Amino acid sequence: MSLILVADDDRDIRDLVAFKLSNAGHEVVAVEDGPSALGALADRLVEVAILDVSMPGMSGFDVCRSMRSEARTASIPVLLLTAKAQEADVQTGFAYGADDYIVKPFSPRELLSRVEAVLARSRR
Amino acid sequence: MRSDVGHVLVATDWFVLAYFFAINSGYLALIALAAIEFVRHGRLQGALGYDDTFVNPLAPPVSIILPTYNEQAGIVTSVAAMLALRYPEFEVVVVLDGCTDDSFSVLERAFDLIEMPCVVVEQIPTRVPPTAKFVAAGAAPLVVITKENSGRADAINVGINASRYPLVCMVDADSILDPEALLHVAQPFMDDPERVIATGGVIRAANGCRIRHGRIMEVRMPRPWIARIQVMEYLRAFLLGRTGWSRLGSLLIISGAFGLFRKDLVIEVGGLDPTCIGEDAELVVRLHKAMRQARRPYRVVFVAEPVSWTEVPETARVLARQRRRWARGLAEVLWRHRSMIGNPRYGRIGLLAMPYFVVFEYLAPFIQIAGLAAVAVALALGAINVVFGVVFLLVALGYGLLVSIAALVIEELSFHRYARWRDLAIAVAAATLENFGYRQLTALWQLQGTWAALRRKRAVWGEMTRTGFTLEAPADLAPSGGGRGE
Amino acid sequence: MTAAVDLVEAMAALVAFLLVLVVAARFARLVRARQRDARIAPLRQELLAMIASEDLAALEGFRRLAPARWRLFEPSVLSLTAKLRGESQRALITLCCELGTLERALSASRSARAARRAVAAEALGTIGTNEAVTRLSMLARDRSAFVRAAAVRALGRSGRSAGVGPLIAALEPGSGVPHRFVAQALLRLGEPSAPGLIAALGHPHSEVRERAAEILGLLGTRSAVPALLQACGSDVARALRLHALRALGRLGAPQAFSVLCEAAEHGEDEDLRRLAVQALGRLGHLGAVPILAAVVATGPDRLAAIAAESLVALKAPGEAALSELATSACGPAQLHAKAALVFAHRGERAGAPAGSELKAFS
Repeated sequence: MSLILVADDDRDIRDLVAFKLSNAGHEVVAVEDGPSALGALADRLVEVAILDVSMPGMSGFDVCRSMRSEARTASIPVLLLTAKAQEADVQTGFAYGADDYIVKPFSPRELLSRVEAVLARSRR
Repeated sequence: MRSDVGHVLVATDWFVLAYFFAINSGYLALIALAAIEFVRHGRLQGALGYDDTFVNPLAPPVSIILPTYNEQAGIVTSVAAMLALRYPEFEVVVVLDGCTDDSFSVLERAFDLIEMPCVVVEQIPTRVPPTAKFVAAGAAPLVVITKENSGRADAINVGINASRYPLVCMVDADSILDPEALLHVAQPFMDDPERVIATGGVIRAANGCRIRHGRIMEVRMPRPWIARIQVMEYLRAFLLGRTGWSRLGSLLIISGAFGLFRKDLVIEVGGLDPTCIGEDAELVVRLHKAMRQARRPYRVVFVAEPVSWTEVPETARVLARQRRRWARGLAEVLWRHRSMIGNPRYGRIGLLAMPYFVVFEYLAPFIQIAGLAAVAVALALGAINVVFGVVFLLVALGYGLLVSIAALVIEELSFHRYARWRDLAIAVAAATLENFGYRQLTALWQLQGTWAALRRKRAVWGEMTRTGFTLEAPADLAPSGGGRGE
Repeated sequence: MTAAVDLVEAMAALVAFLLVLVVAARFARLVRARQRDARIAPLRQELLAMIASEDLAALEGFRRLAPARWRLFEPSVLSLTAKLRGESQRALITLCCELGTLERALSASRSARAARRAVAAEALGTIGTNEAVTRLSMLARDRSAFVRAAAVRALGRSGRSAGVGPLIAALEPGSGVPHRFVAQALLRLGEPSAPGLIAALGHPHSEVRERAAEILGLLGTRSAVPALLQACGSDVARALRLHALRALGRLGAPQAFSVLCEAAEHGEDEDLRRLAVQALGRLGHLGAVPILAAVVATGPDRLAAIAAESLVALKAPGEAALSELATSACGPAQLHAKAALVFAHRGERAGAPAGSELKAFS
């Protein structure tokens, strides 16, 4: 049971990820843009953040970077969710401090196992 | 003697009547063309592949050039919003055109700028070299260039020289772009890579809209009537008029607030002309000219999706300055390229678009004002009867209203961005009110602008450039940081 | 006088008609949208819950949906399917096939209206069965440019290697499909495109050869290296050599080192040299350091700037060469070297991390 943040402007993906993670026993906060994601991070004790790279207002990269720059959120694991699978983009993601990368179209099952892997790593 | 004057008056009145009929019919025809385009486009919704373009590694990379002059209040929001646009590969080149405010330091703080040695390859000759170049620490593709003040056109040229990518996008710092804006305007370059050389995006009025983080959250009608009327005007002229021209393959104006160009061709024709007030329109005309002269196949495309939003003037004083400037710009462009007018060598541009602009844009304010005066005098003298007066009013104003409402129908059927019922009612009211005072005043301002262009034809070109840019973004209208809108 | 009255009336009637049209259009649109939402929302929740719980047997319930209701729901299902991979995607596709979505798309793809054919192509690509792919390869030669483009994109999303042949045919000049769409589709199909693309390096049309080389570079197939090396030979047309050089750089193929060095030093024009210089940066072979340093010192401006960036990519030895240039060289070479070094270390500066200001807006 962990609190997981999902930020994606695509309603289908947001809802599906939320369903999937809550089925697995996690609590989910779902938001649709970068600024709300930062708001949620400030309000609650999020344990993993799943961020869409391209969101209106602020990209997932920017959210990730500003999480890393603040002590309270610096160590929260981040999974980036993106349709861009080019090597350069993956590198950018890691450069901003992301922990893992999920390429759209995605498999909900794979997403769950990656989230749990990241959770397990961060608890160690 | 008396009857001679009467004859002349009657003839003038008939001429003016025919002119108003023609100008409104011309608009109606452009709107019909736009309607055809939208119907086709609407059916294809969902099969246009914007999402695919977003992830296409071969999408042509874009350099966004953002010239700015003393806009410290809104600059960080604008730049952040532009860096968050959806597009595979792009950079933002901010050119600080001799800013005397804190623009640079707010940018430096927000994006953690670091200075780079500045090596300029002057592909377009510029008046003023850059004084320094900065990049953002971290991966944000942001370049900031500082230079001494030399006007918007020259600032853009400096930006183009410093840009890396094959397409350049010119934007105004106070434009609010839709997150998909670049995808939309770059799409024609993907669809027809061999021929498309420039695309322009539609400009809409941002006043009254709910804005957050430099994004339009909800489209609403503004409060002041002067801005509401402009919403209708923009809809009619920019959205539908330009879509119609684009369909005819004769788009002459790409607004400086949002246009995308092939950089190699912009460099080939020498970049923007800093001696011209309507520098954006002038560039497009020059591109048309060069391509036609070289007999190269090409297209200039207008993209109708709402992509760019700008604050329109809310006071008569600022509006007057804007319209004078527009009229003056148009007059200069037409004068400079007068050899193209009616010249079959330039195809539709020479035979259709340029003559249309001369007759229905350049001369319109003269005829509108002279015509109204002539009708009033004729009525007073009894040279024409009341029936003629009524018919005249109908053709001049009633037909204009009809055209506006037709534009509203098309907006409703295609983009329907104004979601509230009361906005619809306001739009209709604005279209009606436009005829009583607004049209006549703008005609007067245009006349003043055209007059200024005529008088100063041989004057020094450069002196107006700076005022031009500040006019576009007067301090009281400039975006003010995060506090704007909400 | 009556004529004027008539005219007034006619004008007023026209304006009134248009006003009624606006209101009616909006009203109809709102009602339709509300009805659709009301009928679809529960289905959507149900479907998402099922996919999330992987209770795919529960999809059974959807099979009993009234055809009209399913058709209303169909676009949402298709768009969801396109966002998924793996088992859940397969289950949705099966459901679509059973409920007649495939048949409807196939028949719509023969519609006289281009827009219907284009939308059908998108659906066929999402479904991606054999029949769908066969039909798409025909749509890729449709008379409407929009349909051709949609079909090519759909072939890419179908994930079926049967799409490779028609896509390579669509690379030919005169196919009337923008080459970037075709390239993207082939990249989406991934590894299975490689054999066809390698064969296309010998295609009779030069455009096909060049684009095949370009796509192979982006695809990252190592097996393409020998064929691409051959395409860099001095007897090969310049355009193909350009693309092949770039592709080799993208692939990071060590075998390409000598060819790239040769092109970087003695390439006959700046474009060729630029691509070779960029490729040397990606290759990561330290032998390139002196060659790149020489280009920074003596090359024309744009080339020198790119060579400096490539040196940065070669890590410590490259940066050492740049530092040397930054102190000893003069004129533009020194500036290029300094610029590249500053850019390379731009993230390391202490102080307020970038983006702190962005937070202030939230």
